[in-house]
This record gives sequence, C-alpha cells and structure tokens, in this order.
Amino acid sequence: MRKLLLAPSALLWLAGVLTPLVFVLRMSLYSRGDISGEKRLDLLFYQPGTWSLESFAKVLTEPFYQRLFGFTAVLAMVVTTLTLLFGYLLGYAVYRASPRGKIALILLIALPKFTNILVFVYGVKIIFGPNGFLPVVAGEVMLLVPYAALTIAAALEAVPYHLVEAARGLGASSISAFWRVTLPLSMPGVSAAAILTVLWSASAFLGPYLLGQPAQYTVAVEVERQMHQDLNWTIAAALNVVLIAILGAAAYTMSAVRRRLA
Amino acid sequence: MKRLAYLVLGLLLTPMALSILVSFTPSRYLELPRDEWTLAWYRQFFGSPVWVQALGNSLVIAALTAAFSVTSALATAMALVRHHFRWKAAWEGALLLPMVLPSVALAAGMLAVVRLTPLWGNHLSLAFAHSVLAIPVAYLVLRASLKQVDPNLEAAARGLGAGPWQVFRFVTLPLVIPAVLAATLFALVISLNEITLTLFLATRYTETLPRVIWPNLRFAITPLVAAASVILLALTLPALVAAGWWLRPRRGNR
Repeated sequence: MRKLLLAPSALLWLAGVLTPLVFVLRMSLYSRGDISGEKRLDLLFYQPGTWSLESFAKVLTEPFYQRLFGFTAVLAMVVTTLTLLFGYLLGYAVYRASPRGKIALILLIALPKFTNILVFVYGVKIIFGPNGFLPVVAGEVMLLVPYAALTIAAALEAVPYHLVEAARGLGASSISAFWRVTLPLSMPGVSAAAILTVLWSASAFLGPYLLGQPAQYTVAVEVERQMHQDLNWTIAAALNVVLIAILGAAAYTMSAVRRRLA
Repeated sequence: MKRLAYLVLGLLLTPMALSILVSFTPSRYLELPRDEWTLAWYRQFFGSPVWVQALGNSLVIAALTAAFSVTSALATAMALVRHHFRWKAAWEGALLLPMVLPSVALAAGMLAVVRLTPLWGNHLSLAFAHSVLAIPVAYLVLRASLKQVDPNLEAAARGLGAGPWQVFRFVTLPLVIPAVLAATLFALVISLNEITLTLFLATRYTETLPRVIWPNLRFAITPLVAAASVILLALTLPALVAAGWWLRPRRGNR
C-alpha cells in the first residue's frame, strides 16, 4: 500500500527525469549526424549506434567553448554576488517589519515570481534598454533576488532580536551588532541562498538569450542554438553533460563547505 | 538601509507595472500611453485564432499538469511523511532534483525521448513535462501541511473502524485541503508560465501562450505582446491572492 503511493511520482521521475538525462548522456557519445541532404530526421541529429568522443573533444578543447564556459562562470559569480547583496537587504527588511508588514512584504517580493518570466524580461528590456551585459546581469539578478530574499528572511526569522538588543546594551554599535551577531547567525540562510543562486545563474538561459548580444550567450543558450539551429544534438548533449558535471561538483563542494561552517 | 530595500522592491515590481501600462497604449510601438488609453491590443488578441488557440492550449495543459502533479505529490508526501522508508532522504533528493537541474538539459533530453513516442505533438507530453517541474513545489507545500496533521486523529478514526480510504477522505484530506489548493495554484502558475521545456516540446498543435509570445519577444515587439502578457498575468494573479490568504496570520502555531 505505502509503496503504491510512491508509484505515480516514481514513474514520472523515471520517464521525465532519469530517461531524458540518460538520453543526453548517450547522445553526447554519438558521432555527429549527417547534415548534407539527409532525409531521415533521426540520422540528421546524430548517428544511432555509434560511439565517439568527438563532441567532448570539441567542447573541452576549442577556444570558442572555453570562452563560453568562462563567460558563464563570470556571469554566475557577478549575478550571485549582487543577488545575495540585494536578497539580504530585502530579507532584513522582512525580518524587521511588523507581523502584518512581513506578510505584505513577502507577497510583494513573491509577486514578480507569479508573473510570467516573459512579461518580466519584457519589462526589464523597457527599463534597461538595448541588449547587452548590463540588462543580462540586471535581468538575472532580478529573477533570482526573490528566492534569495525569502531564503534569507526565513533564516533571519530564527535569530532572536533580543540578542541584538543585548549586544547593543553591552555597548556594541548597531553596525558592530549586525556584523558580530545578526550576520553570523543568519549565515545558514545566506549559504543556502548562495548554493541555489550559483546553480541557477550558471544555467541561466532566458536572461542571456532575450536580453543579451551573442557576446553574453551562456552555455545554456548555446545548447538551445545547437539543438534548434545547427541541429547538432551531439554537441548540445556534450555541453549539457559538462555543465551538469561542473554544477554537480560545485554543489558538492559548496555543501561540504557549508557543513563545515555550521 | 530600509529605503534602499524599498527601492530594490520597487525595481522588482517595475517590469510588471510597465508591461501592464504599455498594453493600453494607442501607439504601434512600446510606448507608455499618455492621454489616450485603448483596448485595441486586447481586441486584436481575441480576434486572432493563433492567440486564442494558444490560450486554450495553455489552459488545457495547465489543468492536466495540476491534476497529475498534485495527486502524485500528495500520494508521495503521505507515504514519506507517515511511513519509514530506508532510502527516504534519497527519495526526497531525487524528487527535488528537477529544481536545480539546468532546464535546457532536461528539455534536450525530453525532446530526444518524446520525439520517439506517440506523445510527440500531444498535450499530454507537455503536461507531463510541466509536472516534472511542478511536483517538487507541490511536494514541499503538501509535506509542510501533512507534518502538521496529528497522527492520533488518524489513529482514532482507524480505531473507530474506518478503512484507509475513509481515514484519508474524512480525516486527513479535510485537514490539508488549504495546502492542496495552494499546491494546485502553484502547479497552474508553473505550467502557465513555463517556457524552456515548452520551447523544445511544443509543436504547431500544442503551442502555449508563452510559446507564441516567444518569437515576438526576440524580434518584432508590439504592444500585443504586452496585452498577451497581461492576460497571462490575469490568469496567474488569483494564485497570489490565494497564497496571501494561506499565509495570513492565524492564532496557534503552524
């Protein structure tokens, strides 16, 4: 009976998560499809039955792809830094608000997440003007700040404010009380938000695609381009495998550091 | 500090406000309406078969997604909250994995798989794909609520002779119904707004509203896109109101 309850989500997980990922891994190991006048669609995208490391060789050695991964990493770091900064600011505002104010603030922070991402990007376009690095960074930060703010607000909720008052009563300035009491106690929230933000910004797709020039294209954008325009599914798959491997390693390292700090 | 926080919040809310205003512009370009406001873009939206068809597809797929994801997330949450499993943490981790996976990787794999099945070009394939993203969120909402339910109430019902289905129907479900509604609304919002998986999986017959907005957003932007966006917003906004109701301050602990 209880095993049966797990069946629907387990089946969907096998069909909708595991199988696609296995397919991506297998596709990354095919030889490239034949694009010259091939009529059978399945042979166009890749050559079934072949085993080859040519896609990985390309993705790992060609300067174009190295620059692509480099830019994606830089973008992720810039976006994460700004997102944590603004997220903390908003999270702190929630922490210090009255009970009613807290709910209003949480809803207003979450509101952009209920609007369509395309509506949102469209508005960012109107504010920040023509495509380029600034709109990409601004767009991604604005997309991720609500998650960071709510994660940090939840962690701050667990910090009793009378500890800050005690520090102040013992002579600490408000800045020093913040640095030595509030911030250290809220670090679990900050580090959780940091891990999620790094993972999400490193796989950014919509922001760079819709708000960027080709110079701001990320790995995820290149995956879409290879799948839909160049019809080179093996390269797209290899890019996906390398991206997931890097993100997995990053997530593992960051959680290990987080556990050590806790 | 506080003022800066409100400034950031204002900036976060600006894109939405701007697209609402632009949708009423009489201009053919993305300009804010000055003295004259018009519903012309909305009339054009509802007069165009492509947009209306997309709206219909979006609604069908969202309803299917909500049905799949909430029932399976509820069943999973009941199993994992109430019973002990050996690989409980692994189950949960696997279930939540789609939240952190790059969506283009998931989308590329799904395209390769679905293309080989009869589901290709069917609303069901999109509903299943959207459910993969909706289940983690629905699960987190339902798990939080189920943990609040006192197991003694269920035990009492069993002691009075109720079968497992009766316990669920008359004890557990009424206690978690607000969370079921919240999870349903989240699933609807996720499906209505989903674009990355849709971009890879939708065909001519299953294009959703975001999928039809997509090429317009990249190339020829007219205020019609803003109007379409506002219609999408109007569909998802009730969810936020419901979320606010769910979060409202209550006596007792939650």
